[in-house]
Amino acid sequence: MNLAFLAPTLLVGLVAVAVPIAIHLISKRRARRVQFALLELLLRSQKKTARSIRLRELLLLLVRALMVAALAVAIAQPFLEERAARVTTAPLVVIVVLDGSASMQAKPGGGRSLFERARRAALDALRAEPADVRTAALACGGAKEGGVFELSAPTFERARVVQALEDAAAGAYHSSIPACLDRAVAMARAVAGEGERRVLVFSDLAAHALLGARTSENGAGLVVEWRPATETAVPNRAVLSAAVERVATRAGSALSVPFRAAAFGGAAEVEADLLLGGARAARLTLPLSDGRALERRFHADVDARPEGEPITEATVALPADAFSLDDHVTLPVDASGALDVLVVDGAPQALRFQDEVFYLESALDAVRGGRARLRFSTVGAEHVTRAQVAGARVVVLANVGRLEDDVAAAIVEHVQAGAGLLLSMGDQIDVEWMNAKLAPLLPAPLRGSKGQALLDDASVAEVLSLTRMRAEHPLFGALAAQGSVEAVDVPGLARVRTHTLMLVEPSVDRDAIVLARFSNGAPALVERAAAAGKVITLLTTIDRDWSDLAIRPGYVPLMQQAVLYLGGALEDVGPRTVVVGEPRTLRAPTGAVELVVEKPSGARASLPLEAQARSATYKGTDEVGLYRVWSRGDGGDLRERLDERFAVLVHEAESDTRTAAADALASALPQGASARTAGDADKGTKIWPYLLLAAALLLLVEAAVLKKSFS
Amino acid sequence: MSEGDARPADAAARLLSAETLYGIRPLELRARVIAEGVLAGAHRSKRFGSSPDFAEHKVYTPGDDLRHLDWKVLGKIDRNYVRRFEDETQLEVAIIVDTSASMAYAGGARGRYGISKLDAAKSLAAALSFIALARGDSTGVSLFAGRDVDLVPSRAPRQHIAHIAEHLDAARAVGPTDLLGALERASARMRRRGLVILISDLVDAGRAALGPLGVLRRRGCDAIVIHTLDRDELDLPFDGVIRFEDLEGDRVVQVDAPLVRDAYLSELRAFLDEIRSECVRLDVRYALAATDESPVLSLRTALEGASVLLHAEAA
Repeated sequence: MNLAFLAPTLLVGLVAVAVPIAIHLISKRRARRVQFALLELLLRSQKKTARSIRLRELLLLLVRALMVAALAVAIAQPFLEERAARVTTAPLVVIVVLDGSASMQAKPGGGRSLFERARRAALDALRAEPADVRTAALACGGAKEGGVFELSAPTFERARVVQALEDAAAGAYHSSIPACLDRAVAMARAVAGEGERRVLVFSDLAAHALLGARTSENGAGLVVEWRPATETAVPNRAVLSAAVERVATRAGSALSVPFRAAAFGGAAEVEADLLLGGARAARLTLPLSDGRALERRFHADVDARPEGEPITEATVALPADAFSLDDHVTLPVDASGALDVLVVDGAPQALRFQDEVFYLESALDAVRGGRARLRFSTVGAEHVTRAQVAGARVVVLANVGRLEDDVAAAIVEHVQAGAGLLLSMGDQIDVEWMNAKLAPLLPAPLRGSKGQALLDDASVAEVLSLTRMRAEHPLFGALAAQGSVEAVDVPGLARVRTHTLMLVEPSVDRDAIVLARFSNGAPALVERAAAAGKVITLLTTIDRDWSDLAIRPGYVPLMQQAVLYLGGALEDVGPRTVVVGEPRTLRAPTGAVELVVEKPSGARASLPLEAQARSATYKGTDEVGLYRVWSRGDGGDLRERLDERFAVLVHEAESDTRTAAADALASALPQGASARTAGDADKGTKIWPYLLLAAALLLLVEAAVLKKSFS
Repeated sequence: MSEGDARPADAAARLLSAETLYGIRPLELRARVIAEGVLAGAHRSKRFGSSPDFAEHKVYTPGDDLRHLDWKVLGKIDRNYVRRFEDETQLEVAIIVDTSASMAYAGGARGRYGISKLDAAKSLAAALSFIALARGDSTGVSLFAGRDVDLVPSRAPRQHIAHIAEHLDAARAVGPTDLLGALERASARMRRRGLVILISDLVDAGRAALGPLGVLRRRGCDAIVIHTLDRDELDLPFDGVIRFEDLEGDRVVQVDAPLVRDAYLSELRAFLDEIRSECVRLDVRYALAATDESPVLSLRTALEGASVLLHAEAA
C-alpha cells in the first residue's frame, strides 16, 4: 500500500506550518507593559500555573501546527494505492480498453484531455501488473478509424503493449463501449489457461458510450473494472446540427441557418453567434436545458451586405467549453443565389412578339424566387461584350449567326470554366463560323438546316415531332412522370411540330447526350459537357420560326429547367453535412479524371475517377470541420468545386458528456461478467476527507483548550 | 442601623455615582457632598451634645429630637427650631492615608482608566474629616509613604477642613509602603480616647503590620481599616500576554493574564481573608472600598455600627 498524491506540488503548503510557530514566538515578545500594585500575588500565581501554562501552550502549538499540516496535505489530495492489497492472485490476462472517441478530447479545466488522462492511467495500470501476466490493448475509436480495433494482442511483451498505447490517439469518431467489451471478451477467451481474465476500461464513461447493442458473448469469469477518466461529468454545450438555406426576399435573397443546440451536464443560457466571413452577423440567446435539444434559426440578409469578399462560409458558434469539437459548425455557403442569364438575341425584331427571344423571355420571366432567382438581360449579337459574358452563369445564343471572335472565344472559355450555354438554331446561323469558332461547345459539327416541307418525298412527314426523350434528365424533371426512362410522350412536348431543323454530323461527341430526337431520328436536344461547363443545343428555333415548340405547354418548364440546369440551380446536393466516419458522395463534372478533397487540417486526398464516372465516394471524413473539393480535368488543371464543399460534424451522441448511471454500467457488462466498483480502482482510498475531518477535530480541540484556559 | 435607614443613603449613592463624586472639585466640596450622602441615612444629622451650654438654633428637620424643639420660638414666630448644645465628649479622630507608589494605580485593563486609589483615599479621608469636624471632634490626618509622614495636626474647628483638604490635595503617590511604622507613630500620637482610620491598599502588609491597631484598641480607641483596591486588582480583567511591573520596586512578571487569572483570584481571596481575619482578631472594623464604587457606600460600609461618628452620643 503506497501513499500517493493527486496534486503533489501543492504539498508546498506545508510551509504554512511555520505560521503558528512564528505566531507563538512573536506573541511572547509582543507583551504589553502594565504597572501593577499587587505584584506579589501575581508572582505567586505564576509560580503555581507556570507548568500547566507551558504544557497548554505546547499543546496549542502542536494542535495548530497539526491542523495546518492536515489542511496542507489534504489540498494535495493524498490517497492510498491499494494495488498490492487488492491483487491476491495474478490474473491470467489483463486487457486494457482505451476509449478514443470524440468526447475523450474534452479538456476539463483546460488541462490535459480526458484521453491523455485515461492513457496515462492505463499505462500506470499496465506497469503495475506482474511481469508474468499477459496484457493486451484495444481502442474504441481512434484518430483515423472508428469502431473497435486491436492495438496489441495478448502478449507477455509488456513493452509492446505500452508502446501501442503510447502511439494511440483520440479521434472524432463515435464509439460503443459494449462493442469494445465484446471484442475484449473474445480476446480474453482466446487465452487458454486458468485464472482471472481482467478487462480495464479507461473511458469517460459518458452515457452515450454505453449505448449500443451487446452481443451474446459469454463473459463468464471475466472481471471488468471501470476506470473513469474524470471524477465528475464535463459540462458541454454543443451545436448538434446546422444547415444553410437561401430564401427569397424582396431585396434579393437571404441566408437562413437553422440549427440545433443543446447543453449537457447542466442547464445554461448561452449566446449563439452566426459568423459570416469571420464577422458576427447575428446573435441569439439560447435558454438551454440539460439534455434537450433546442431548435433555432438565424437569418442574415447577405445581399444587403456591403461590397467585399463574397460569403463562402457560415459558422454557428457557441461559447467555447471543455469539449471544443462541437462548439461550432462551419458550413459552406454557395455563391449568390441569383442566377445571371445573358440572352444573346440573334434576330431582334421591332415588334416584340416577333422577336427571336420573345417566348424565351416570357418563359424565364415566370421564374421568381425559389432556390435560384433568375436575373437575365438580353443583348443583340453585335453588342455582346466579353464582360457581359464573364458576368453570366448561363449564356443563351438564340439564332446567333456570328459574333466577334474574341467574344466567341470568351464564351468558349467561360463555358469550359463551368458556365452553361443554351444554343438554339435559326435562319441566322452561320454554320461554318459556328463549326470553326464554337467547335468545343457543339455536340457535333453543324451541317445546315433542313426544311421538311421542301422535301419532295411522300414518305417523309411534313412535320416532325419530338420523341425518345430521356425523361430521367433534370431537363424534363417538371414534365416527365417518375420512373419512365425513355418516355415517348412527355406531356406538353409530345405534340410539338417542327418543320425545320439543324442537322449535325453523325459523329456525336462522346461527351454528348441526346436528350430528345425528332421523329426522323435526328437529334433535337443535345447536352454535352465542355470541361466544367454544360451546353444544351436545341436543333431548331427557340421561337415559332421552325417549330411550334414555343407555344406548347411544355415550352415554359423546358426553358426554365434548361436555364436552371445549366446554371447549376437544379442540382439538389442535399444536406451539406455528414457525421464523422460517414462517406460523402461527391459529384464530378464531365471529363474530370480526379477529385481532390482537402480536410480542415489541410491534408489532401485524391479520388481518381473512372471513365464516365460522374461521382465518387469519399470515406476519409475523420476530422470535424469544412472539407473543400477540387476537380482535375484532362488538362491537369485543378478547379475548385465550391458547391461540393461539405462539413463534417461530430456525432450527436458524443456531445452528451453526462456520466453513465451505475445501472447503465451494469447493463453494459457482457453476460456472466462481474464488475469492480470504482473504489477498487488503482486510485485507491482517498485520505483527504479524513484529513479534513482531522483538521476539524483539531479545531475543536483547540477551541476546548482555549475555553478551558479562559474559563 | 435598621433596613429602612439604608434607603436614603442608597438613594444618595445611586444619584451620586463614583464618577460623579470623584469628579467634584475642590476636594473640600467633594468631602462635604460625600459626607452629606453618608449622613443622610442617620437619625441624627450631626452629633450635638446634651450639655447645658446652648450652642445655636437650627431649623427643625425630620430626624431632629423633638425634645429639643424650642417651643418659645414656635410660639413667637410660628416656626420650628431646635436648640443645640455643645457636646462635652469630644473625640480625637486620626485619619492615616497611605500615599505609597502602589496607591497611584488607576486601572488600565482593556483600555479603561478610572481614578487612582490615592484619589479615592483622599476623597474618603476628606469626607471623614468633614463628618468628624462637623460633630466637633478634633481631627487630624497623616499621609505616609515609607518613613515620610505629612502630618496635619488634630484640630476641632470646622474651618480645619480647609487645611486638611489642602494637604490631601498636595499628596502624591511615591515611595514604598511602611504601614507598621505609620501605625506605630499614630499610636504614639494618640493621647486620649479616639478613633483611628487607616485608608490603604495594604500592599505588602502582613499580619504584623496591623498590630499597632490592636494596641490602640486595648487603649480604648476605635479603629477602622478602609482597604482601597482598584477593580483591576480585584478581577484581573487583562487579555493576552502582559508584562507586569512593580509600582514599588523592580520586580517584573510576564504572564498570559487569562491563564493566571484563576490562580491570582485565589491568591487575592487568601490575602483579603488574611487581612479580614486579622481585623477581626484585633477587633478592628474592616471595609473594602473599590475605587469604582460610590464612596458614599464605601463609607457607610466602613462606618456601619460606628456610632462614634454616625450617631449622636446623646441619642
